[in-house]
Amino acid sequence: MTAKEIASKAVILAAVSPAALKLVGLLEQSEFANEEIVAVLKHDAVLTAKLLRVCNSPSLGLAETVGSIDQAVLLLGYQQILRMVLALALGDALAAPMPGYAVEAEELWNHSFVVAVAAEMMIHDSAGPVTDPATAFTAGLLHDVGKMAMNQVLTVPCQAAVRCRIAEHGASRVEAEREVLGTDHAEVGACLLTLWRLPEAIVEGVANHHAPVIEPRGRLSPVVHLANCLAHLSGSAPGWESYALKTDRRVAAAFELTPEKLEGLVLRLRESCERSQSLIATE
Amino acid sequence: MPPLNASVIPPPRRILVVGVADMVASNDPGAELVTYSLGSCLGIVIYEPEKKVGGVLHVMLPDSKIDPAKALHAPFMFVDTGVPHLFHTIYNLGANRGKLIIKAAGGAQFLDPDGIFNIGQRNQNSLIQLLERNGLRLQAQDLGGVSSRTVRLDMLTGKVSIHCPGSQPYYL
Repeated sequence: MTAKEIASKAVILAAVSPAALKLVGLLEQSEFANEEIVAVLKHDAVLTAKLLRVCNSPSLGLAETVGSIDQAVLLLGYQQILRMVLALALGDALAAPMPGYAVEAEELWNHSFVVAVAAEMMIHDSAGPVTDPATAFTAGLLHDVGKMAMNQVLTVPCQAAVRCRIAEHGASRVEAEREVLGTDHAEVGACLLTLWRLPEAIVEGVANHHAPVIEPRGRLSPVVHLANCLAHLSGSAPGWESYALKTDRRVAAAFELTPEKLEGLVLRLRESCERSQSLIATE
Repeated sequence: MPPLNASVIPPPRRILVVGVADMVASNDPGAELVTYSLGSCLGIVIYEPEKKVGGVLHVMLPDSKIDPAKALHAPFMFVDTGVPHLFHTIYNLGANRGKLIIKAAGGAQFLDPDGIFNIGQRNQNSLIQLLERNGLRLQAQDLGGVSSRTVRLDMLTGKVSIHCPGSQPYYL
């Protein structure tokens, strides 16, 4: 099967709110007004109701009661609203178990969230490529969305064949997936995001997160690659053979990484995740 | 008629979860200590069979020199500060130094020929050096590789089991 065929059969395709995807689509514009955000969200009454519930939850600690989407956007701003909407729209889908990868319920969501926070963190690192934090966060959150689709075609014999190539030939997980299935979860994920008409920068970050594009500079894939490594090193690495991941020395050079700097980043990431958990809580 | 004790159900085990950058020690033989998702992190297990005292430590980074202030309030984050705390706690629970069984698991590694990303290997080196300096050694280990691991210590028997996602558990 091709990546496109696998992506188009994915159950997750039907489960995600079009309003949430339109909101991500706004990232492609250099500027947009709060009214545009409100207009997009008002098309989805269920999402709006959930968003207002989160805005009024004690964990957010807002002093005033939020009674409308207009008020929520004004109080919290686009980036925070986007985080909440993504959590509400994708949380359930990404929290589902994936037996094909031996990933239990909630594990992929938790991992995706840590990668998103790490990607946002690395955007602020001056040595890295520059893009806006919300785009980096979204690409991090969606980097493994292809696994949701791959899970449906990873039969037991396919899993055995992929794992055998990792164990006996030292292949990375994406190399083994390509040898067995003819495609890999990064390519399938990019196809899904293209079907969802998400911005090209996010599609690139997801498509190449295991084979980052360093030149021309400014692409998201090196950021997502490093963010994925940092998430693993901070204790978020779900599924079988999760460390069968080839790190890229060009990314290490682009971010001027040393062992000590990397360890410092892992510490910073844990602290950032602890701070961010309450801001993205969906209950 | 079945023997009377066939219908006696053993009490449930008390599961004590050890989080990331955390440590739990116990002298309760009815307890099981478990730490999940050890990737490049290390799970260090100490058990003293006579007193049935044991502990599990889940450390993330090799050396506290990168952030000494952090190490003061989160010593279990680092090998060099977490391991001494684990030993002291086990001794305070009455363990006999000469009878300690020390095991370790974790330290998974990326496919990284340059080694910059391999905190797992640096964690292992830090632990081995620390133990050697104190005249100690690991009785058993399951270190490196590309899998994350869940480690359990049965406080009644001292048995340590390891479970990698998608694989059968085994004893260390």
